[in-house]
This record gives sequence, structure tokens and C-alpha cells, in this order.
Amino acid sequence: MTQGRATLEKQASQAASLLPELMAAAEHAAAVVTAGRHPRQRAGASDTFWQFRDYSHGDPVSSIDWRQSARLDQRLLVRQTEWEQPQTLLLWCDGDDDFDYTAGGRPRKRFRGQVIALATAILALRSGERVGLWGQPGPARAGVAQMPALAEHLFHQQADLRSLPAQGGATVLLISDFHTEPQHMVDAFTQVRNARGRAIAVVVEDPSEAAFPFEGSTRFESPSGAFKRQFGNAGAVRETYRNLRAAHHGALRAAAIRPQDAVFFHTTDEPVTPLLMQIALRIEKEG
Amino acid sequence: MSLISPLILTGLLALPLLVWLLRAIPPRPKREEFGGMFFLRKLSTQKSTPVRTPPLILLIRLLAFTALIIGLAGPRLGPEPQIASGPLTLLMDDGWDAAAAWPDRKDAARRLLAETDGAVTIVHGTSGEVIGPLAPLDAMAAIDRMQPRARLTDWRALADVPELTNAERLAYVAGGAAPTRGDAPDRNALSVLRRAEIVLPSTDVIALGAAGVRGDALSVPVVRGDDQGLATYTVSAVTADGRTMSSASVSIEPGSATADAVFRLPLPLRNQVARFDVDGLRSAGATELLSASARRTLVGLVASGSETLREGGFYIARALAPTTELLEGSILELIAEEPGLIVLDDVGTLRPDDREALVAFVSEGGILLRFAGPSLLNTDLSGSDSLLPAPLLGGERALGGALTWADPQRVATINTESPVGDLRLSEEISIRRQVLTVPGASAEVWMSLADGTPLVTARQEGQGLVVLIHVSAAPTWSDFPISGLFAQLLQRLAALAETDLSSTPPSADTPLPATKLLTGLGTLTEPGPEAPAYQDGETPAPGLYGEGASARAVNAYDGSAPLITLTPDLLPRGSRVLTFTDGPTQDFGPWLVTLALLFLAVDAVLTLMGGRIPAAALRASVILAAIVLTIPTAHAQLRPPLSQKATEAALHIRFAYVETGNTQLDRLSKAGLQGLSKQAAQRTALEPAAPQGIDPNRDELSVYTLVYWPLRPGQDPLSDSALQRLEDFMASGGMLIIDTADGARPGGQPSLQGTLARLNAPRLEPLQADNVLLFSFYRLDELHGRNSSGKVWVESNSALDQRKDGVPSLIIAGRDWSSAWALDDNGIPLRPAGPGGEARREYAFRSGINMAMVAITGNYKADQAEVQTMLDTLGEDDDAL
Repeated sequence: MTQGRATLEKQASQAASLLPELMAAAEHAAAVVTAGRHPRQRAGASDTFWQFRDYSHGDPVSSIDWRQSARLDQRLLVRQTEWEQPQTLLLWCDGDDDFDYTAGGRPRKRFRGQVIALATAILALRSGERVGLWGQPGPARAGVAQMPALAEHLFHQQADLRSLPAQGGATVLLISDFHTEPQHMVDAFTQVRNARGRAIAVVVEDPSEAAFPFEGSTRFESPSGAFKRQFGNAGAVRETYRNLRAAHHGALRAAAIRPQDAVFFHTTDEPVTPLLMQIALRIEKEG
Repeated sequence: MSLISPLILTGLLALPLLVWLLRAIPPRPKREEFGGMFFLRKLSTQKSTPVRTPPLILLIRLLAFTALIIGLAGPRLGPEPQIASGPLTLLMDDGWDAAAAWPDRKDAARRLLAETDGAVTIVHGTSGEVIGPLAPLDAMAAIDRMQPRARLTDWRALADVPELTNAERLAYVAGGAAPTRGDAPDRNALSVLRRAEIVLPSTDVIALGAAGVRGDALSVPVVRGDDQGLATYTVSAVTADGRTMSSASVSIEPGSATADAVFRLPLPLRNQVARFDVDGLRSAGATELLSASARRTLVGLVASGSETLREGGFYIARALAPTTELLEGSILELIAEEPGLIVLDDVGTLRPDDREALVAFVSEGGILLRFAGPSLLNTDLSGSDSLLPAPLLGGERALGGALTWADPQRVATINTESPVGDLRLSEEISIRRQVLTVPGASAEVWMSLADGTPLVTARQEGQGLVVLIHVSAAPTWSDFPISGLFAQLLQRLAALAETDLSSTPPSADTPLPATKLLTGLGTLTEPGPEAPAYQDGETPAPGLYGEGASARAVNAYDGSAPLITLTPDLLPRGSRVLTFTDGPTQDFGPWLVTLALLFLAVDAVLTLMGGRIPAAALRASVILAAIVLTIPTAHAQLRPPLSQKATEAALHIRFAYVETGNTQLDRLSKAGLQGLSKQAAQRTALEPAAPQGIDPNRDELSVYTLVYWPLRPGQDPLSDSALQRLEDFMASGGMLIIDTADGARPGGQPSLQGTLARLNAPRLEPLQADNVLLFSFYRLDELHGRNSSGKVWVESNSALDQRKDGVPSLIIAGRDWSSAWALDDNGIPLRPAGPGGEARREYAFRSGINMAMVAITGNYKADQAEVQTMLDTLGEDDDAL
């Protein structure tokens, strides 16, 4: 288990470490690199200078900028800093039996999903955001130092998509193969929307699920062996299967009805980085 | 071509059924793990459309099935064994003529038994002993227990065995020798074999006849049973402790049944010969034992005294003592002892009865050696004397005295045609006085002086020889008695006088107990307590009887009767010769079953590939099929896999010891080698791993370099195969150390003797001062052990094989090294160091390290001794350039 986590972290770090390089080439490199500082253009609690204003009754004496005030005659200036608000990113990565599928030496779907989740988390933490796990008790925290704990919790994350509580204003990253009823995802998206948050979903699938390259008499089993299905000629059901799958994907895509929400489709034979860039851009976009 | 069980072939009728089944039953579905089960679960179940078995797979399966059925039916080529029912009487020859190919004889018997399902009665050929009736399996066990005996088939006894004469079915596994009467084969004795099935051996019968002395050589006739073709054998002369003294090659010409193997050996060596063996033939008949008493010439000496340097007898006794039994006494007393040589030192007048006895002695083949001297000259020399080679002139001839003007004469020539012709004159021997023969006398002159006057003359008298030495036996008349030539001359005469070895053993007044008995395989064993003693008038079991001068050797084949090979034309009418030489039956069943399995394997591979047969797989299967079809002509030669132990031993240099089965001794050996390994690792670059105990019967020996073998009295002797493997170990460059731990001369221990008698040991010599064992790491004066008495015997330097890097393959000593080396795990000695204390132990370690070094580096260390010389030589060359 420890080794699995180490590998997971390492993979995530690797994927994330590739990212800045690609970002630089990308159109919004600057935005990504400075991501995390989101000036509200209002006075608030931060170190960044916002404005001087005249002292009014009730301001704490300690807030008076005596140096500036000395330059002016008979005026006291109060120094105000800008209000900065870090985002909260909540991760959810889980799926049922199908999510553990692997074939042809490709990574397991679940593993790939976790890599994506962690890489996103690393990016977000570097940017100063707070990252937490959806459904995990305790607040989202900032700081790269919580990465290992995050990875471990992610590894053990077991939460049903439908039972997750809404958290106000947070960006929620949902990663799964969503081999469930599409309504589950639509419900989750609605819940996030109602909580004034943003939802981003990543659908991770194996290429062979898309291609369905099976012929002849075949007995299909789910990775855990819980479900079995036999077909006398697998080639004959290919068309039906593809149609079902296309309809399912269509329903998933339809869940993102707002522009700030997004559904990405990813197969395990694709590189992670482009997807990460997309996700990072999404998160960066001001809601 | 035949089938063991043809009924199975009816299974081929099921082939169409198989075709139908294979077509009807779809191939087993592939199992696929799939991540899209979510969608598949939504799919409605469709009726499975059967998929046809691909035709290639169908074909392969049909071929496999066919091969399997035909293979199980057991087709084979070659003669068919016939199972005969009913009781069988098996006459098994267990004489020494069967010993040479004993395993083959046993195999033949086993084959006969394997083809029988009735009760089996076994009759021993040599004794007529009857075993059984037994079940075939018990009979097999009885055959396994049989050992050849040192005698021949007793046909006379067999004629009276009712089991043979009344046998329903009789089989005879022949040893090879036919019964004889006079010089011809005895067909009557063979009449018991009427209606018998007879297995004849494929080899000839070979025996060694009675050894004899021909002049100065030992000779032993090699006798064979037929006289067809040219046959070559090697005969070895072997000492009592098992060393091969000499080997001679003998070729028996076509048309001849016998040829002599001749050994020309110096008398001291000849006297050590205890037996002759035909190399490569283990049979009591091919072994000729020599009794101890036959090997030393009995010499009678008549002299006035032999105590002081002034007496001639002293010089004669000194010259003869190393090689002969010397008796002193009066003439009549001596002749009663039947000596081969009588020496008269300056005896002049002979009493009439003495003279009569001597004349008779000489005419019967004795040798009379006389020395001149004053007494001889004092006698009446006028008439001719049959006990002198030639009449003598009265008075001696004096040379080089104060009153003579002739110089002392030198011994100048040796007559090369005389029996002493090959002696070499290497020193100046001056003769000051001599007696002279009458001119014109017809004696043979063996040696003469520079002026031509004879020094040694001889004359054939009857079957014997009269020899006169013309000087006295004391060095007053000449330097001759103190020369080396004198001793050589006397020893040569003693050798000439050697009594014929095969002369029938003289009568024994008292029964002689057996000391060793000969087995049918030609080895000597200790007799049991009930072994019959040697007595007159009885034919004793072959072996050695008695001790000392009265010892007798009785041989399995004495050469008195001819040896005739049992050939089919000697067999009585109605008998049938079974020959097993027409090759074993070739059984194809296993091959066909293998073929079927291979077809099934190909089928499995194709099925795994999902029925999609790529071109490469098709090609591979065609090649595989081609290989399979050629297999029956190839014979797999699989090396047996190395055992774990051998692998470990091969990966690290380690010492090994022979496990004797005595736990305490084995533990001591192990501790000893452990101690030696530890010390070697501390002191030298040699860092052996922990020692291993080996069982030469089973373990692979070639991976070891040094094997230590503690040999103690009463130990179970190693089997022949174990010794064979130890021989191979030595031949492949290994070093075997045999430690008897008794300190005494190693020849003295019976277990060592018994071992060496069976082990093909290299030529040994006592450790020489320049042996590489003494300077391979430490400079030592001796290979010390816990005791340092006795000699260390090593393979003699001249016998070292440079192909084995000159590693001496065998070291034998009684030094008890393991006790001196034994250390426990903490390095504390387990045994007291012996006399000399810890210094003794230190020297034992040094000796052990030296031996280990030689075992590992071989002649490298020996070459190091020459480095200075080599460098010097190189330096000279450089200067020259």
C-alpha cells in the first residue's frame, strides 16, 4: 500500500512537473503561473497594498500610516490592503467495479484518475489554493506540505457521488469512469451549482472500452469477477454496445449546462498533461 | 512390426464420432476481463451463435487422437518376446567363466524370467544347488543375489540333479566354458541339456594358466577357449598390496589358443609379484595367484663361515640375502630342503655321499656354484670332475705379487651369449690370483680377464648347471667379491635357479588354514571361520593358504585341463540356442504417445491464440511437426542435473571428506577439514568454503579438488562403483588423501590393502625430499601429522600426468591429519596435538596447506622452484643479444 501511494505520488509529481514547461508554451502561461492570486479589487486582509484613505472614526490607530500622514498637513491616512480570496478545490475520484479495469499494459483506470486528481491538487496547492477531498471531514487546507496526506486520503477515498454534501463556492473536480446512471452525475453537478460552486468532471476510460475489439465466443467478466456475461459471438454485439456507450457519454456531456462547468473525456492511452492544462485553465477562469 | 494390444486399435472407429463432436461443440469461450460491463449488462442476452472449430485445429486434434490410439496399441519392431507359461528350470552358470560378463549373464537370466509366468527353479551350475520353485519375481531377486564363484560348472554333479533331468522346460544361461574330458570337449556331460534353451555368451573364455619362470623372466600363459582370430590382452603383474608392478601385452595368433605374457623384472621386484590379472577382465580364471614360498629362491650355502670379513661366506651371504632365502648347513642337509642353488665356497674334497647327492641335484636342474680357493687346489685335480665345469690345472696363477712381474689383470669381457650377458661392466676389478682350467677344456666361459683367461666358467650338466668362479669368495685373491658385478652375478644365478612357480604345491603335512579366498570375480576375501583348510589329496577352494615359507596358492584355473568355449555345435541335439544379440525390440508406442501430446500442445497454442492463426504460427507448427517426425531417430542425451550439493561445491573451492558411516570419525574429518580451511584462509590466498562430506557412491566428485578419506580397520569397504568414481576423480586431476592414522607402514593395514587391491591406484613412491608437496607453500622436511612415523606414499613423480597439471592424485599415509587439524567453531583444538605439542599441530597445518596448495595450483608451484634457473637462462640470452 505504501509503495502504491509512493508510486501514485511520484506519478502525480511527474505529471505535474512536466506541466510548467507546457504552460509556458501555452497561451495563458502567465495566468497559470500566477494562478492562485485572485485580487478582489476590494480592501481586504492581505499584504498587498490597495489604497490610502482618510482616517475615519473607528479605525484602529495602528492602521494609520504615520509616514504618509506626515507628508500631508492635518490629514491622517489609513493604509488599506487588498482583499485576496483563495479558491477551494475539492477532489473526488472513485468508481465502481469497472473503474479497476486495465488491459494491454495500460494503467488502471482508477490509478490514472488518481494521478489526474493529485496532479491537479499539486498545481492548485502551488498556486496557494486550498485543496480538500470531497466528502472528507475537515476543512480544505492550503500548502504543498499536505500533499502526502492528501494522496493517502485519495487512495482510500470511498464516497458515493450521491451522498456528498455540498460545500459553498468550491470548485469540485469529479473523476470517475461514470459507469453509473448519468443522472447521478447530473445530480452532483446540480448540487455543486446550487452551492455556488463549479463542477469539473473527468471521464476516464480504457481505449478497449471504446473499441470493443472482441470476436467470437467470449465470456466477459468485470475486474473483480462480480459480473459475468457471455456472448456467443462478441462481434455481433459491438454495434449495440457502441450505441449504448455513445448515448451514455451524451448524457454525461449534457450535465455541464453552465459555461464554467466542464466534462472532459480521457482514455488511459492518452497523456495526462493536455488534460491537466485544460483543467488548470478551467480552474483559473474566474467564476 | 507387431502390436502389444491390437484391440485398442478399434478405438480408431471412434474417429468419425470425434469429428462430429468437434464440429458440434463450439470451442470454449475465451474469458475476457472487461471494464465496460456497465454497458454489457444492459444488453439483452442474445442466442449464442455456434462458431465452427477451425479446420486446422480439427485436423491437429484428429492426428493427435490417431497417434494416441496407435501409440497405446504398442507397435514395435524387432523380435517378439514370447511369454511361455508353465514351470521353468533355470540352470545358471555361476562359475568364473561367467564372471567376465556377469551383468550380461544376469540380464540374460532376467530376460528369460521376464518371459515366464510359471514357477521358476534355479539350479546353481557350480554346486548343483537347487533353489525354488519360486515365483518369477522372487526368482529375479534370487538371480540378483547370485555371485560368481571361483570354480567351473560341475557337470558331473549336475547330471544327478533330478530337477534338471525331469525339467519340463529347461533354460541354461551358459558361462562360456565347455566341460572337457582329456583334451576334447565332453559331449556326454552336456547331454543334460537336451531340449534346453541355451543362452550363450558373446565373448570368449579367457584364463591365465600356471605361471612359470623362463630363464630370468616370469611368464604366465594366457589361454583362450577357441583359437579363432587374433586377440590381444594386457596382463598385469600386481603386488600383494594392489600396486601394478608391470604390464605386458599378449597377442594370441589365429589358430593358437595360448600365448605367454612375459615379465622381465629385477629379482627384488619379481619377488613382490603376488598375482597376475588380465586387464579389464574380472574373473577368477583370469587371475593367477602366486604363493609366497614360490617366489624366493632357496639357496644353500656351504662355507667355512660367514661372520667376518675374512670369510668368503660373508660376501656370498650379503650378495644373496636381499633376494633369496639363504640356508647354511652341510650338503646333505641342504639338499633335503630342495634349494635351487647350492654355493660351495672353496670346498675341495667331497665325501662320496655328498658328491652323489650333488650330482643328482645338478642333473635334476639345480645350479651348483663353486668358488676357487686354497682347499679346491689342495684336492686331487688329476681326473675329470663332473662337479667342475672343466678340469683345473694344479696350483694358482699369481699376478702382481712381490715376486711376480705380471701386473694384476682386469676383468675385461662378459660373454654376451651367456645367461649373464646383459650384465654391464662398469668398474675396474683387478684379479691377483686365479685358478686356471686345463687348456682345451670345453667349458662355457661367461667372463674372462683381459688376457683371455676365464674368470667364470660353466657347464651344462643334466638339466642343471655347474658354475665355477675362478677366484675366492673372500677379497684376498681379487677385488671381485667387493664389486657390484659380484652381487649381480650371484643374483642372476639365483634367478636362474628359481624353481618353477607352477610346480605342484609340495605336500602339506599339516592342514594349512585359508588366509584369503578367491571370489569368482577375481578378488580376494577374508575366509569365513568354516572355510576348509588345505590338505593333501583334496581340491581346495581357490585362494591362499598357510603363511610364511609353507604358504600355498591355489588357482581357479591350473592349466591342467584345456579351456574350450561352449559353441553351438557342442550342444546336444534338441537344444535350442537363444541369442539376445539381435537387438532389443524397438517400441514405438511411447514415441507415438509423445507425438500425440505434441499435437495437443500445438492445438493448445493455437487455441490460446484465439483461432486466428498468423502465418508465423503456422510456420512454427509446421517446423515443430517436422522436428517431431524426426525425433525417433535422435536419442536424447540428457545430463543428469547437478545436485544442489554439487552446485554449491562447484561455486566455491572446498575440501571434501569421504563419509565412512562412523559418526565420530566423520565428525572428526569434518572438524579437521574445517580447521584446515580456517588456517588456510588466515594464512594464504586460498579461502575454502565449509568442507562437505561426500558419499562416493552418489555424489558428483568432479567438483572437488581435494578429498580426504580416513580409512580405519573394520570399516565397510567401498563398493566397486564408488572406487570407480574415486578413480575418475583422481584421473580428472583431483587429489585423494587416504589417511590410515595408524602411523605404520600403510601396506600393513588390511582395509587399505583390500582397497588398493581393487582401486586402480597410480604408481606410488615414498615422499621424496624434492617433492613439490614439501615446498608448495611452506618449506617442510616432511608432511607431519599427529604422528610422523611411517612413510607418506605419493604418486611417483615419474607417473605424474602433466595434463592434470601434475597434481599427485593419491597420497597415502598414516599421519592422522584430521586429528591434528580438528578445530571447533571457536578455533579451539579438539584433540591433543600428539608428541611435540602445539609445534606438531603447527607443522600438521603447514603440511595440510602444502597439500591443498598443490591440489589447487598443481605444477605451478613446482615450476616456481625453477624460476631462478629460468631467470638466469633468460638473463644469459639477454646478454647474448
